[in-house]
Amino acid sequence: MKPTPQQDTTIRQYLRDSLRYRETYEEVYDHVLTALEQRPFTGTLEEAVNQILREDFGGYDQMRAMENDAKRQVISDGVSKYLKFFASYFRWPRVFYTLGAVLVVYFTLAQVKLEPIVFEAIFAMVVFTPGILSLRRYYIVGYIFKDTKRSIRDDVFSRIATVPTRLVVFVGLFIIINMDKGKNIFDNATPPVLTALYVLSGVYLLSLVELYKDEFKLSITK
Amino acid sequence: MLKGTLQTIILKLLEDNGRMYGYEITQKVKEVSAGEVMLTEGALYPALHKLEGEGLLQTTSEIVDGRARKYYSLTPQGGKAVTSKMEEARAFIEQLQNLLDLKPAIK
Repeated sequence: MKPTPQQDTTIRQYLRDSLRYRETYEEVYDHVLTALEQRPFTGTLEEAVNQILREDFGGYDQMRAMENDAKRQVISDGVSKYLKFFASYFRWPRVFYTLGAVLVVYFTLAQVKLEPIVFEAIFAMVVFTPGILSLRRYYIVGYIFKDTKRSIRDDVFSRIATVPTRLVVFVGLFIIINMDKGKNIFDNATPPVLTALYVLSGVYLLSLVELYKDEFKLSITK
Repeated sequence: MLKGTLQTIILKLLEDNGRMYGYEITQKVKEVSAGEVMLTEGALYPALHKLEGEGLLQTTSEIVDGRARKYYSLTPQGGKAVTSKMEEARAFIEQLQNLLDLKPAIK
């Protein structure tokens, strides 16, 4: 049974409404169309589609369960991929560059009196770069796939990209509580502490960029 | 179907056929088992996603008849896993055979 263009649009719309993510929608849609083309069906197209969804996927609830399962897998895969990128900066050969960065940052902080604007710029870069990268990612994903339907990978990226914002809120709260008690933790911030903070922030950003690039390695052939 | 065997079946099919898409895998299982084993997609896709998450499978998308089709294939790690999974399956079948062939001892 080959659906007409109008029937095809109806199937697409139905599945787009039923499924939350682009990845599962594409997989189920391809499955339904292939099944329609290859299996003999009697009755209306609607009956045939419902039969495929019921027999092959166990119905609507099972499809949603399948989506949740896929989401869990993708998030776990994405986070572990990100952690691997992060850890690679502390392993050979990259650790060589990390140590170089540690030395440069440490001696700069210890020897040069930097203007507050430099610290503010670094702070802004760490907090805003993930947000800019997230927006750029949404734009490129929509451009490549010509589809703005939500992707499972959105959750992976947004979880990691919001880490600095969450930390800023948490640390900000900590500073406010301490300032209320008459303490300013930055008064005692020494070059080693700041070096660790800046190098880790740099590694965080570089790993995020790698995760971002990795997503687009997906091969699309037409 | 016994728990854990689905992954072995998928890995073996992909080793033999290079790359396959979801529907193709179900049809191949049906064909090879002469219709005796019916793989439901409700079980297949989660298993495929799990294997992909474990790094045993990789995916590529291709546009076929105007729609995106996701092909699964083995990663080098997946290639190694097929051998060990097949050995596990063979050992299990052998054990099962031994157990089922056992006759009660006559006293």
